Amino acid sequence: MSFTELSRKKSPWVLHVGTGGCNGCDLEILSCLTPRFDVSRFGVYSTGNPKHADVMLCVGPVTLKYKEIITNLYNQMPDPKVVIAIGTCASTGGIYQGCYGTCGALDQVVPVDVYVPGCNVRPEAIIDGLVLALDILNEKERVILDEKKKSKTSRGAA
Amino acid sequence: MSQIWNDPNFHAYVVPTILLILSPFIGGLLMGVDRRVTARLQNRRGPPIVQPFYDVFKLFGKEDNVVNKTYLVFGLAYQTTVVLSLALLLFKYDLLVITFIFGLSFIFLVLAGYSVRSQFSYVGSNRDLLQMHSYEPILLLVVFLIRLVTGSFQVDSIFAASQPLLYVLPLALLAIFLILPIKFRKSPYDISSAHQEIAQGPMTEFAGKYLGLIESAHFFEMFFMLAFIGLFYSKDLVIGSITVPWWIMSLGLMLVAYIFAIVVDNATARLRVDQMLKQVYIIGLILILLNLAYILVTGRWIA
Repeated sequence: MSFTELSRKKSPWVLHVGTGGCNGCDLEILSCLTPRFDVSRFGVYSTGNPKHADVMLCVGPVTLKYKEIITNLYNQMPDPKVVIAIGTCASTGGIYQGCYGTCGALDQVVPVDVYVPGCNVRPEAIIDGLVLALDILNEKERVILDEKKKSKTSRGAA
Repeated sequence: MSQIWNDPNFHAYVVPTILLILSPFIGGLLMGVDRRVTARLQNRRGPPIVQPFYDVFKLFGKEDNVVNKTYLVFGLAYQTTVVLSLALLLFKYDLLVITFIFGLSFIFLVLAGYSVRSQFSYVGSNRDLLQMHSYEPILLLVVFLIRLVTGSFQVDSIFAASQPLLYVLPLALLAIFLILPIKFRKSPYDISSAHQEIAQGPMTEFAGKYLGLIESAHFFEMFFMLAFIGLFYSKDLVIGSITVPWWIMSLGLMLVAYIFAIVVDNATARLRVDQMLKQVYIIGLILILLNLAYILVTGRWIA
């Protein structure tokens, strides 16, 4: 493991997005930052800025009005990036499933890497999901680098 | 060994060069310790003390979405001027030039914030300018006071003075302590980069390795402010038969400033811009005027 990969694993900067849920899971995310659960020991730092973030924590069923905003935020995040769906609403649609004002679930809008179900999710589950996401970050970067190499060699051959 | 130690060229060129090379590491470690101590004060465990390095190296390994080239130039100018001002301070150049170049680095960051079309960046830059408006006069007045008592703007004259600056300018040092949170971007004056309030202020649009550069510039900034405070005690302290070398006294003063910044950061909340302007101007100017009166009345010129 190179030093960059190690540091990528050690410092996930988190973007917290609420997409119109009941605010229960938002509070659980906040309680992750409190002394009892303290995610900052994994180097987690909560930025309010998609351009600095590595991990997007998404909460709530995606309402139709929020669809454009969330794709926008997703596109602004620099690679490698990971999206975590926090709570049942974000993972499957939950009690809003089939409701006229929502898109169904988060994975209908942006690609989701980790699902953390629960209503509300426990902070422990969020931490588990975050730690899972850290491995995915490095895998994604490897895939991106491989693709770059391939496109370079194919261009060279052409 | 002692021959090298006593060689004036060693102190004039070799030591500053080593310090300049080590300064990002020292600054980064200081920031890491800071985050750790903050966490402990809040009864958390906190990240490891090498966390700032993890952050920077991660940023260097990320994709960089470039919005326009102007702000990259200004960001790079910010980084280089910070390093330049630190180098000038370590190589004992003119104190006035050092202060101006350090102020210039701030201006470049503001310009970088203005050169992109993001309202967060704009608000952050506006606030940054106001912060600069409040701290720069205080810093300059302190430099003028140093000039008044030592008779020269040269850093060497502080070392050549008959007494350490702390004995002559104690209130001016307090004024520096007052503007310390502004330069460290800490509460109560962390108005420009206002975490979670206006994204990241002027740094909002930076991403990837360019953000990494800006972050590493903060390491240099931290080291610069502490080195500047270290100037206030640059004489050996003699208590009876014991002689404490000047660099230990200097380091002690830096440590006091560092701990002061951390404690104040944790004990206060963020203020509004107008509150900051009032506090810094009124308290800072009163401290400096009192110190000026003290010098004039007691006639303590240490040139």
